[in-house]
Amino acid sequence: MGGAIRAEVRKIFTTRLWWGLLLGLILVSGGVSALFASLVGTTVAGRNPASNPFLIMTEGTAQLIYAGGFVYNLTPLFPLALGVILITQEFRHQTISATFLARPRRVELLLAKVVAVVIIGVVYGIVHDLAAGGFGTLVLAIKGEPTFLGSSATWQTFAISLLTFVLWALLGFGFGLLVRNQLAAVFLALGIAFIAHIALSIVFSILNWTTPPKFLPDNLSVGMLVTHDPTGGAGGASPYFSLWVNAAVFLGYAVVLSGLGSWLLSRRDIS
Amino acid sequence: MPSQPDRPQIVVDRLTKRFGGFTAVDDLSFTVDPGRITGFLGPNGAGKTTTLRMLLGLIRPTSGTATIGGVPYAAIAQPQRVVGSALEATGFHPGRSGRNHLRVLADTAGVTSRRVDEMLDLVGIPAAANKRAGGYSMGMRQRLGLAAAMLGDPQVLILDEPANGLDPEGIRWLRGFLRHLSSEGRTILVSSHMLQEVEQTVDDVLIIANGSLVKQGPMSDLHGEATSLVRSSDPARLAAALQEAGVASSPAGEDALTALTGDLRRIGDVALTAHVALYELRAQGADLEQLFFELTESPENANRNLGEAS
Ligand SMILES: Nc1ncnc2c1ncn2[C@@H]1O[C@H](COP(=O)(O)OP(=O)(O)O)[C@@H](O)[C@H]1O
Ligand SMILES: [Mg+2]
Repeated sequence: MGGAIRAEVRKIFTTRLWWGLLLGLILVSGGVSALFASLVGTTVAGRNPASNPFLIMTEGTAQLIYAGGFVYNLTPLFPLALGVILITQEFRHQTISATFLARPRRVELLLAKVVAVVIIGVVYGIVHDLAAGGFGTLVLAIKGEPTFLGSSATWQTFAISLLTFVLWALLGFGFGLLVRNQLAAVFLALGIAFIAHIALSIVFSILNWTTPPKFLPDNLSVGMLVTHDPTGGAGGASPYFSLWVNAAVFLGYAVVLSGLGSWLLSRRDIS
Repeated sequence: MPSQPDRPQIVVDRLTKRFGGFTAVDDLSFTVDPGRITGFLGPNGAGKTTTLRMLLGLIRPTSGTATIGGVPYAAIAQPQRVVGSALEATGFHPGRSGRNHLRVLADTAGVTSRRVDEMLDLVGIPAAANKRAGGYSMGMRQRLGLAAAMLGDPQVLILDEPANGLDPEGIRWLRGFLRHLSSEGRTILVSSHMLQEVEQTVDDVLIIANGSLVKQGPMSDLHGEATSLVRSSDPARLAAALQEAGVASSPAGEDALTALTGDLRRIGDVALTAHVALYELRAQGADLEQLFFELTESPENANRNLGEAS
């Protein structure tokens, strides 16, 4: 098993995909963090303390800043795309035969792949933390606002972000395993995560439904990262489940997709 | 009886694969003996790749079994160390270098990076090893595939159309390569849709058409009896003289005969005695290509993939 995991990790780091996506991630996470930090103490996002999370710097505001692009649904697209591509490229470039020849017990092989996806997910999470933390604190420091780097809420967000990245990458992996066609899988996954999320959010708000939106992956991950109310209690009830409920539901999505995909692939003819 | 683990035998037993209603491999049985090069021949679409993929656990047979050393491929603990394989339609990530491709496989095989470099040398592509595989020629891809197959130093090699895309120089190189591996006592099963590609290389042949076995045996059987071509001033008189000397012959064009013997000296002597001038005299093997064609394209074996539209 150790050899299979090493092989899968080596596969990830021997093409340009991982750092290409990582560059995009740094730009987006760092950019959104810097943008959010620059809004602190201003009325750009409104004068109402219940709806402008940046009016006063709170623990929740810090979490929002350091979660970076998660709030705009942009950051998660990177681990999602990574997960999709890592599995679909085996089909696209017909390397899946060699992979299974080296490790014919397919479920074992797929488990090794999952471990490799977890590892790269953690790497992405760390880089995201560095980008969001770096750009966010830089702007806050320039503005003379508190950075909340001494707060446990901030460090919780930095730590949970690793889990969030792993979960998004696994979701992509499971999705790719089911769709297999790389182009279709990438466009479908990004389309669902970005556009369908926005469309469903609008539908749910028109219908005045408050629980279904909590099950949307984007809201699950924001709910994991931003556990304190950024408006300092002015905003009313939280739109998210609690941290570990979010994590459990998200993990459920990832496990169902990956499990079903693995089971189907373990029975497929590879020709 | 399971064969010796260090000299594994390949046994295919009543193997059948149907894709929907189409029977790609039809009740196929054969064995491949250790230490020999066996050519697995048949026209395109005969079912060679499907058979090899079933043997390697990539395709699930509809019925029947295929084992290597008595066990299915997927049950071998360290498969790369027992069986090396290079299949058709297996690719390389275009953005990964050849060396890194091998290193990935070396991780699962449990062999060192040094072995990777040795294999790159062995197949003659060390210079391209650090280049991205997307830029490789077909011949380089075939060589990289062979290097991958050899990584675990396996006793058994299964190669699907390894000569495809090779230039004549490459085919000559492949021939030497396989001969060398065979001299080390390895078992090699090599498929091809062209008999000429492998006729000088293989010890045994296994010919299939439309998913069924049509012939199995040593290559020498296929060559059959040697014949000679004789071009002369008077073919009719020579034929009669040969007949008298106990050598059958048949006309082969304007002024030539095909004599059913490989003994050129004898024909020359007969011609001299009969006062017939010889213009050409040479030995010829059985016409293998013709034979291959007859075996695989005879009415009952006519290629189903080329059938007339109904
Ligand atoms: N996955 C598949 N689905 C349907 N038909 C297939 C599949 N794979 C192979 N075939 C068909 O099975 C036959 C045998 O194919 P193949 O084993 O590739 O032959 P060969 O390698 O001898 O050229 C061909 O007619 C091919 O079209
Ligand atoms: Mg083939």
